[in-house]
Amino acid sequence: MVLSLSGLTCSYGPVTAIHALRIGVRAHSVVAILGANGAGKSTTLKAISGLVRPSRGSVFFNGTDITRISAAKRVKLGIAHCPEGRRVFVGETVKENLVLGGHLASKKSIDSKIAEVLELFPALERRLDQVAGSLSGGEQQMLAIGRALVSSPKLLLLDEPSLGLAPIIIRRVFEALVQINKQGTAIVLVEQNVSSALKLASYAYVLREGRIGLEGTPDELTANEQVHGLYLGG
Amino acid sequence: MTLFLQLVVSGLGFGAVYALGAISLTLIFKTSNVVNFASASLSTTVALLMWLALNPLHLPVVLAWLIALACAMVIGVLVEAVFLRRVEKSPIIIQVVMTLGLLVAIEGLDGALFGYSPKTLPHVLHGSSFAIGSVLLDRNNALMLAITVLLAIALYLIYQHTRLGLALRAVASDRDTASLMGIQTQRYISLSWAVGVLVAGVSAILIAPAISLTPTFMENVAVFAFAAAVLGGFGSLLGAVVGGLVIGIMSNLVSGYFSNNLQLTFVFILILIVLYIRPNGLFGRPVVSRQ
Repeated sequence: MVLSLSGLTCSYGPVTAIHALRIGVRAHSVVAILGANGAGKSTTLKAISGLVRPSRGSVFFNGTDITRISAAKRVKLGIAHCPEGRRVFVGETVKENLVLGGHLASKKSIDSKIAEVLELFPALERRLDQVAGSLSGGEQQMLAIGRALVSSPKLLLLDEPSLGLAPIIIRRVFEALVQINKQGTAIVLVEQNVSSALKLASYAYVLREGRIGLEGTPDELTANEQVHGLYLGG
Repeated sequence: MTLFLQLVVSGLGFGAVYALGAISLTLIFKTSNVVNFASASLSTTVALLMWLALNPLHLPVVLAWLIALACAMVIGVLVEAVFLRRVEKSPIIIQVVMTLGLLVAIEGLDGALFGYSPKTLPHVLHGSSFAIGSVLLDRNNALMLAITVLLAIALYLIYQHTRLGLALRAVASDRDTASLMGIQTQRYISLSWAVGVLVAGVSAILIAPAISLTPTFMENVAVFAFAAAVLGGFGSLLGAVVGGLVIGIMSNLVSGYFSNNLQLTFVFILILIVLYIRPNGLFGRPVVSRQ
């Protein structure tokens, strides 16, 4: 397992967002975390990347307990997180955003990783000197994913990458995710676009009020009447 | 015309000090989003430590400078770590009250430790003023101006053209996302406080020979420095320098042609006019985002 969550519980004051989650992610796999708004999906990703401190339970990355280490140190270990809403640095240029993604890497390594990102997302190439805030939503999403890739992650956490994007852009983003995964990066994907997520994932968890309601392979979940009815428009 | 030019040139010296104060406020605000109202008392403490090193301890000037500046950086780091970090997620008003509280508490502490009788620090340069045409330029004013301009250029180059500067900008823009880039955000915030208090300390040491050194001697300077930062566009280093120099010149002109008592009134009327026309100040930029 590249990642395993063991009894992970996170609270915001008196409100418990996730309860005793047990989730495993195999190396090179794509795991989807599905669920309605407020189910605890984003909190789960934040607990993995270190933005939220769990009140109980542990996060193991490649067998090492990383529960108490900072978000910045988790990046060094190989975890990259594309947060919800893209969160690009709007006042900095596209190039500067990409360089920031490689904050811990050498200049040489950053240059070669940026070249790879531009191959994956050619639309960014002509925008390199433009401030990120002026990009379209789709371009900002590509930039957010590209920025995460500059750190050469072993595990990529993606929070709602299709949110607010046109179908053609969503298709492009998901094609890029297939390529990223093929190159060996494991992905944990939080998505409301369930059909796209299940096409990409090898395993999925459905969260309900911070607990795992269902889990299984995409085929198992697609066949499940509840999932079909609630998320796939059946 | 000669009087006008003389007032402008003399105003540049004080303007340089206001600019240094504004740079200090800007450095801290850019990274930690805190408006440091305690700047006056922190910089006073640095000047008093310089006096301690030079007078009772009789240390050489260079060593006294080094000790004062090292202490300034330590004080900056400690103030952030002990006080501001506790309220970093609190509403802005709590942070404002915290820095105002520190201003008063540190002034009191300085008074208790060093006394309230005025002290003197020596000028950095000695000798008479030199003439440029019919205008006289004080050597120390020229030095303050040179230090301010060089420091501003150095900081601008660091902010805009180095990875350190880029990381500082990222921390200022979005601390959580910066930490997801692998940036140890707390270190950068500590650094900005260290350098911010150092710059404020330099301004106090440079201006102290022209004013009596007491625990409250930087209060007026800090008001003008704050005005300079606002005029320039809070968060802009270039704005801090231009704002400081404009306010230094303007207050000297008001003092020369009207009255000392009207300096602050004219300065804030100018700020009101500028902010009415340019709500982000002279060099402040609104953030562009299609999100």
